Order: sequence, then structure tokens, then C-alpha cells
Amino acid sequence: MFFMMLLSCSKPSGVLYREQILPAIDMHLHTGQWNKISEQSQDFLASRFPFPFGLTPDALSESALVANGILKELDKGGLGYGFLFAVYAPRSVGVATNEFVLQQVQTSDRLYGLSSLSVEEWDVYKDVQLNALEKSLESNQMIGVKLAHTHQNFRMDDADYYDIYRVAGMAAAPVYIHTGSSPFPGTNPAPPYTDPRYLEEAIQLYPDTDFILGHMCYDFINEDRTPMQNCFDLAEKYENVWLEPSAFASNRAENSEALLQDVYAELKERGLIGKIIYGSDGPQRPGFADQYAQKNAQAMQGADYSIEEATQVLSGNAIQLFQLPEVELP
Amino acid sequence: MNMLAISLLSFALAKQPAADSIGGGGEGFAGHLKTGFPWQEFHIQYGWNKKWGGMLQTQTALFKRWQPSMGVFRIWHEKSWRITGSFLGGWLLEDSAYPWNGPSIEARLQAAKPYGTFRPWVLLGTKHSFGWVRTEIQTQSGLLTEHDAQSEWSLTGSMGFSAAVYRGIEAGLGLDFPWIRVPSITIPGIHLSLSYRGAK
Repeated sequence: MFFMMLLSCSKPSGVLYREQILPAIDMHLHTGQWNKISEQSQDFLASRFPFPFGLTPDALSESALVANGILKELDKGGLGYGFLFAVYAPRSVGVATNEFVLQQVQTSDRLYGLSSLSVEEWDVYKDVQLNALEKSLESNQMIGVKLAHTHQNFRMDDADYYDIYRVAGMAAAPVYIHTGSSPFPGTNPAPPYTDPRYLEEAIQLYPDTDFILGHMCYDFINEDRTPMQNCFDLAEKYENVWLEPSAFASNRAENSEALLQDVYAELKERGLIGKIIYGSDGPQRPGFADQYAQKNAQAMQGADYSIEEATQVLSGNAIQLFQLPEVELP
Repeated sequence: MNMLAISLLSFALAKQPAADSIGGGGEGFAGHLKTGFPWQEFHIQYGWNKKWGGMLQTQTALFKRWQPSMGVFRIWHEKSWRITGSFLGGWLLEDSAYPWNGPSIEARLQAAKPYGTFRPWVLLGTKHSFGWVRTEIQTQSGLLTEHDAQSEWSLTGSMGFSAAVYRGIEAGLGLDFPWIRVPSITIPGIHLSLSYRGAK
């Protein structure tokens, strides 16, 4: 109990931006259990760990992927809240159930969850899955829906799945959608699964549902930024479309910093700052959430974002969209 | 002066450099056990004469990556420092995300102080391994299995010291700076060693 109190009492320190401490939220973090990840994805993840941690990735991952480990990563980065994603992608990255995510986020008032659902054998289990999703969203800490068409192998323009957006809209739960190709094995890289232009009909049909385009359409397989324009166009065109900049600038190459700065500059130029919701796609490795937040802060500074604009990106837009309490700074 | 002190002193002052598995080279029998994170190593060697000798060793990282090998060494320089070169051939077995099963070769250069109760040493090496790697790819049309011939290049680097404990027995501390699967990132390691130097 004392441990739980310690967890919920810890205060974030904020992200340094132009000599000011800004409140920040990481809307894209993963939780889970190593044995629920597919074998191919286990190998993929293990290959990214420095030697010798890749030899025993299960031990390392288990501690990093539960609430306590994630809170430590949030603290390192001065991040106030973290959103943990449920995932139902048995063909690629594996499964982190709504129940498991809820169990994690209930340990701290700094954690929120995004529910998801399985789309396997949809024609048979559609109603069961939609009911389970609806029930999961009844919890105050499950505040959105996470989908990844490329991981779950269903088309963005398949009307059979539109009820997911309807249920999310009724629950006022924004839908986070993985856009762009994914480097994970077992994903479907074809445009109907990765290009949100195929989602346009659903965006129009469900104006009360908010769509967050995760990774901003970055093509991770070809390391190509060209498709990002599709995401920007949709965010410009529709009030209910938002953008999230996770992962595409996560490598250590110098050009990843230039890419991120260019993206922020373009979003400013196109008047889309009010549509950006910051997320990292952590925890990935120890310190990643912190490094990625700093990298984004530097990129915004390079793109000449004011303090108010950077605050919008780092926390303000998420607070508005998800109707969250303000992040307290010490 | 008790017997232990006499033993230490006589060993330290020995004029004939002893066989030395930690620092490399030497005539006669020597061996050591290194234990630490993430590396463990067991090594024995026998110097046939003042320059040449043979060795057997097995090395493991977290008991998941094993590299048994055997080879020959030769002393190239012997004064206040000894410089030894060695060449090993063996096998690499790894049970991990990079399952590996194939032959390997390694070339090393070691430098160490052959005399004294406190002996620093340094080792540099390059390892090349070869193997068939099986990859399973889940495609939309089913599971695709590929077998690829692959090679792995790793660099070895470690340094430390050994200190006389009793007669031919030494204890030591070392740091390991290998670079496994260049250019992947490798975390440095640390180990304790216990070695036997069979003075000839």
C-alpha cells in the first residue's frame, strides 16, 4: 500500500524548453508480457537490445513493460502522464489485453489506457468484441481506442469494421490509428492497411469520433517521409483528425533530428500545431521516453515554436482532446 | 616472515617468467577461470618451449552464447612486458534471437607484465564466425522459411590486473570491452579471475 502511495504521489518535473519547464504527456507507451508477444516479434525486439541483454530479453522486458518500470521512464523524462496501449495483433506484435492494461493503469493516477479489440474472425465475433470494447471504455482510466490496421490485417476502408469508430465516438474515446508501414514481421504493408486516405470515408461518416494518426504516416520499411503528406492533408481537411509524432525520429542518426525539425516546421506552416499530440512509442529501451521528448523539444525549438505552441504539443492538445486534468508541475 | 610471505616473494622474484594464461604465453602449464557479467571463461594452456604453446578454452555470455575453441600461441616479445599473439579455431553456439551454430576463428594480441606480484594485462582480438541462419517470415500467404549463410564479426578487448595470492595462484580483476556483432551496441563487462601459473 505504501508502495502504491509512493507511485501515485511522485510528481513529474516537466520538459525543459527555452529555459522553461513545460508540462508534458506521452500518449504512446506500450505495456505487456513477453510471452504474449509473437515469436517473430520477440526476435525482432531482442535484436534491438544491446548485447548481452538480447540473450535474455524476457527478464529485461518484463520489468520495463509494467507500470512501475514505465513510471520510472516517465520520471526520467519529466513526463506527467503516460498512455498505455492495449494491443490485439496476434499475427505481428502480439497481445496486451484491455484487462492487463487496466490493471497497470490502476496503480497510478499518472497512467491512462487505450483499449483495443481483436478483429480475428470478425464475422463471427464482431458483436462480442464490440461489447467488450464498450465495457472496457466504461473505466475512467481507459480513455481511447488503439487500432493498427497493418498489424491487425484489416482494411481501413472496410465498412464491416466501422462500428468500432461508432462505439468509440459514443464513448467520447479518441481512436489512435497506426499509420504508415511497420518494421515488425507479420504486418501488412499494402496501402489500404497503412495509408489513412483509405480511412477518409470513416472520418467523414463519424464526425464525432476523433482520429489520431499515429506516426504521421511515416514509412518505416523504406524510411520514407513522402507519405507523411497524406496525414498532414487529412489533419488540415478534417476537424476530427489529429497527428502524433512517435518513433519515426527514434534512431540516433543526425538526419532523424533534421527530419523531426522539418516536420514540425511544416506543421507550423500549415497551421496544424493545435492538432499535434506528443507520443514516443516507448519504452523501447531505458531512457528512450526521456530522449525522445528532448529530441522533440529541440526540434520544436529549431522550428521556432513559441512556449505556448510547444506546451500545446507536449500536453495542451492531449488535455483538451482527452479531457484530462492539468499536469501538475512541482 | 611466515611461509605465505616467503612463497609470495619467491614467486614474485622468480627470474624465469612463468606460464601465464591471463597475460598470455610462457613455458609449462597455466590455466584460469574468469567469472563476472556477462562473460565467463575457462582456459588451460601448455607452453611447449619458451615461444610456442597450445591452448583450450571455452567462453560463455550469460550461458546463452558459447564459444569453445582451441589454438596456438607464440611469444613475440619478452622483456619487462611480454607480447603474445595467438590464433584459435572453434565453434559458436548461441541460443537467442540470433540462434547460431557454426565455426569460428579468432586472432589475439596480448600484452602483460610477466614478473611481479601486481601484473597489469591487456588483450585485443578479432573473431569471425560463420553459420547457417534459419529465418521464418510470416507472409500473407503463409510461413516462409529461409536459410541464409551469414557471418558475424566481433571485436574483443579487455584489460585488468592479476595479483599473486599463493605460489602459482593469482587473483585478478578485469574489464571487458568486446564489440559483439559489429556494429550493434555492446555493454561493457566486468570479471574476477583466479589463475594458476605453473612456474617452470
